[in-house]
Amino acid sequence: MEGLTDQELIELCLNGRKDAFEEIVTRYKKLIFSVVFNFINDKEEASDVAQEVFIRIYNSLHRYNPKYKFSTWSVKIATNLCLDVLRKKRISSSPIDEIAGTVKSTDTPEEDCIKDEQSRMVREAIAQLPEKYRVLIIMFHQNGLSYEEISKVLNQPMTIIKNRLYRARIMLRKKLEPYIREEIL
Amino acid sequence: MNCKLAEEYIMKFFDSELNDVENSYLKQHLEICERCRREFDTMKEIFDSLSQTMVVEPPEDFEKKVMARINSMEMTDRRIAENSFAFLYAGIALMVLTASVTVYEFLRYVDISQLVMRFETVSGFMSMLFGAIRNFIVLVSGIQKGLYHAAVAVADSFYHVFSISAGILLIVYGVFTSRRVKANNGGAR
Ligand SMILES: [Zn+2]
Repeated sequence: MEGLTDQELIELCLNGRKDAFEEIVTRYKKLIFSVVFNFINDKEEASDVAQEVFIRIYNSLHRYNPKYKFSTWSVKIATNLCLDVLRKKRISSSPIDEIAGTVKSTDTPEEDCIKDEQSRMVREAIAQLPEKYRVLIIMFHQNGLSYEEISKVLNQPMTIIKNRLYRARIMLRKKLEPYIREEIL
Repeated sequence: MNCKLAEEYIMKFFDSELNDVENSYLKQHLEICERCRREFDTMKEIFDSLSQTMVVEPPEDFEKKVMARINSMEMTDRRIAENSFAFLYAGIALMVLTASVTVYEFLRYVDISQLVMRFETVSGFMSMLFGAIRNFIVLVSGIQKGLYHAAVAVADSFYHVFSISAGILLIVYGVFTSRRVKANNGGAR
C-alpha cells in the first residue's frame, strides 16, 4: 500500500478496497486535521469534524478529478464542512456564548500544542476578528487556499474576497502591532 | 514611490503577486521609509508564524475511528436496502392478493356466459378485455412505482418504523391468505 501513488489508491478504493482508503487517511490526516483545527480551535471537536471530512471524501471519491492535486481537493472539502459547522454554531449560540467560546479556546489544553508563544498570540488575535474576516485569514494564510478557490468555496467574487482580506490583514496588524513591536525590539 | 503605492505592493507581496521589478521598488521604499518598513515587518512576522506547520497532531486512533464510521455507515445502508426489498415484496404480495380475491369473487358471483352475451360481437368483447388488461397493467405499475418511491423515502428517514410496517403488511397478507384458503375449501364442499 505504501508504495502506491494517490491515484492508484483511489482506484483501489473505487473498486471496494477499504484498506486503500485507510492508507489515504494515514497520508492526509495531518493536513486535514490542521486545516480543521485552524477553523475549530478545539482538539476534540476538530477530531470529530476531521473524521467527517474523510467520510465525505470517501463518499465523493468517484467525483475526484485526477487533474487536480488530491490535497487541494480534500482541503476544499474540509473547508466547506468547517464553514458549515461554524454557520450552525452561529445559529445555535448567542453572541455571548460565542465570545465565551473564543476566550475558552485560547487558554485551555490546546495551549501546550502550540509551542511558539507568538503564534499563539497571533491565533488569539485571529479568533477575535469578525467571522467574515477570520475565515479569510484562515483559508488564505493558514490553509493555503488560492483566491480562486476561496471565491468558489464562498461563492463570492474574487474582488470582494481580495478587498476583505486586505482589510482583515490591516485589522490583524493593528491588533498585534504593540506586541510584535515589543518582541522585535 | 509613495507610501500609498508601497502599501499596495505590501499587500501584493502577501498575495505572492509581486513581480521582480515591483519587488525591488518596494525594497527601495522600505529602506528609506520607517513607517512602511514597520508595517511590513509586523505583517511578515504575523503571516510567517501563521504559515508555519502546526504541531497539533491528530489522535493516535484516527484511522480506526474513520474506518469504523465508514463500516457502520455502509452496514446501515445495506440494512435499509434489505428492508426496502421486504417492503416492496409485501406491497406486491398485497396487490396480488387483492387482485386474486377480486377475480375469485367475480368468478363466483358473475355468470360468465351471460356476460359474454352482453357484447354483440366477439371483437367488441376482446377489445374491451384488452383495454381492461392494459388499464390493469398501468394501474399496477403505477402502484408499484408509488410504493417504491414511498419505500425509499421512508427507508431514508426511519427504517425502524419501516420494518414494522413491512411486518404488519406481511401479517395482513398471512391472514388474508388463510381466509382465502378457508373460503376455497368451503366452495369445494
Ligand atoms: Zn512609506
